[in-house]
Amino acid sequence: MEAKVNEKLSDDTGEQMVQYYFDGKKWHQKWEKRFDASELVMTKQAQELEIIRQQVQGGKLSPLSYHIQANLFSIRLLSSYTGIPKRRIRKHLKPKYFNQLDDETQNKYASIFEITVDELKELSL
Amino acid sequence: MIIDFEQRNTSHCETGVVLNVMNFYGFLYSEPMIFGISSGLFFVYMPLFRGDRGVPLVGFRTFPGTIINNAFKSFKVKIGTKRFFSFQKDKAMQEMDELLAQGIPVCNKVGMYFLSYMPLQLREHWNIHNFCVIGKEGNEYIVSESLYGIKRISYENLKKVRFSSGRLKPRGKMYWVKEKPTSIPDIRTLIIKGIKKTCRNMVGIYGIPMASYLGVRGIVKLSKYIRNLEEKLGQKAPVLLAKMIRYLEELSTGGAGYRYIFGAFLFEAAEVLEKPKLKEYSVEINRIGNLWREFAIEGGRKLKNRNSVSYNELADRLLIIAAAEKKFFVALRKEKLEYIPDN
Repeated sequence: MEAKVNEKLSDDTGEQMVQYYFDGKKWHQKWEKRFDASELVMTKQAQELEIIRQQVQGGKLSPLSYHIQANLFSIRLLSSYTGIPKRRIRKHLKPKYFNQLDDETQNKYASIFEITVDELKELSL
Repeated sequence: MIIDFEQRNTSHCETGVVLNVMNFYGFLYSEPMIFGISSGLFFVYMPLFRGDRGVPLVGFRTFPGTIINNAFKSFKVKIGTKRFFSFQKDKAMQEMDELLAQGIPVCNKVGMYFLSYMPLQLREHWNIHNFCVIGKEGNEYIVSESLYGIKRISYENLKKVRFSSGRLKPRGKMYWVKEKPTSIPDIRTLIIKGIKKTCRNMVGIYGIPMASYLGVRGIVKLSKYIRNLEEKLGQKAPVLLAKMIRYLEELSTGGAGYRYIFGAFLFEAAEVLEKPKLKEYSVEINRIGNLWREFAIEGGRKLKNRNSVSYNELADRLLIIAAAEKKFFVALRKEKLEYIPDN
């Protein structure tokens, strides 16, 4: 039953999954592609990200809030990754306090988002 | 060093891990069989447990990890499990290397977001994925991923993913087969147990807290929630519905997908137990699976403004599904499946 499906190459993009179907006599496996509602959610996320980018360039928010939205983090999740208290992270969302950060905290944030410290500081990079 | 390992693709990660590991030790069972024996089919609607994105928890399967535990337990295979503290990250990787050097495939529980080969649409902070590490070459690990085939990931990536944070932290959890299994208990008794337990899960849970949100009664509650969605949320309603349908059908195997697997299981069980009536049930659950699929497609079209289905109609569809499932599982529960072993 499962012999034929498994001959698939391993270096595809991973958008397909195995699905079972019934043809009236027996059950079979097939590959199926399904991303429909995901597109709407992703466009919605991109819109929210664009609003935050404008606010960052206007000087209302710090670049940290942009990276949080871009990586789908919440403040609670970032807190549990870094060990920094939630209220201190909320403080770092303001540009005034973000610019005063020491090297250790900057490195912490950069390593979580898998970017360099310079990329953390400026969005244009 | 790579272990000689035959990779088979499946539609669910936990059954995939069990299938591939059991195949490695010489016992090959199909994916539906493992899913049915470990009684993985379930329905939960938990409005009080919201994810980070504000979506209520809706699940079509038992708690993450129970399929693996139940399957290995019912096959009577002894597995060793280990978790680590967050300051033991290097030790966790080192112990995995030692097991790999002995020629033992090591399974890991990981988070999905930072996995380097995950497609963009699937990236979500969920720590419920499982795969099997089968080798190491230099700085790279070779991973038998039961959804997408054999992949390679780097040392740093694997370390980060094993100690990802958020809900249900994996904490570097790894598990492996301690003793080589030599024989397997009679498959027919296991099948009967699996069917009975699944029926109990779907229609037989009473008398515990929040019991009315589990099983078929949970579907009724979910339909009520969708009916009131527009009044409550207004403009935010479509996005929340989109997220919900995404969780239901796209991120994991999906409501329809699990029903199809269960149908395939009943079809195989009919041949093993020599009860041809189970094939009729298999056709019926296929029909219910199609209903779930239609619900997701109608919802998806609504979000793109391609049709004018109201929230009430979507809720009515769920009520029809709930009635059909109740009829199905009550009838299946009463079915006589006793099997007397001939000595």
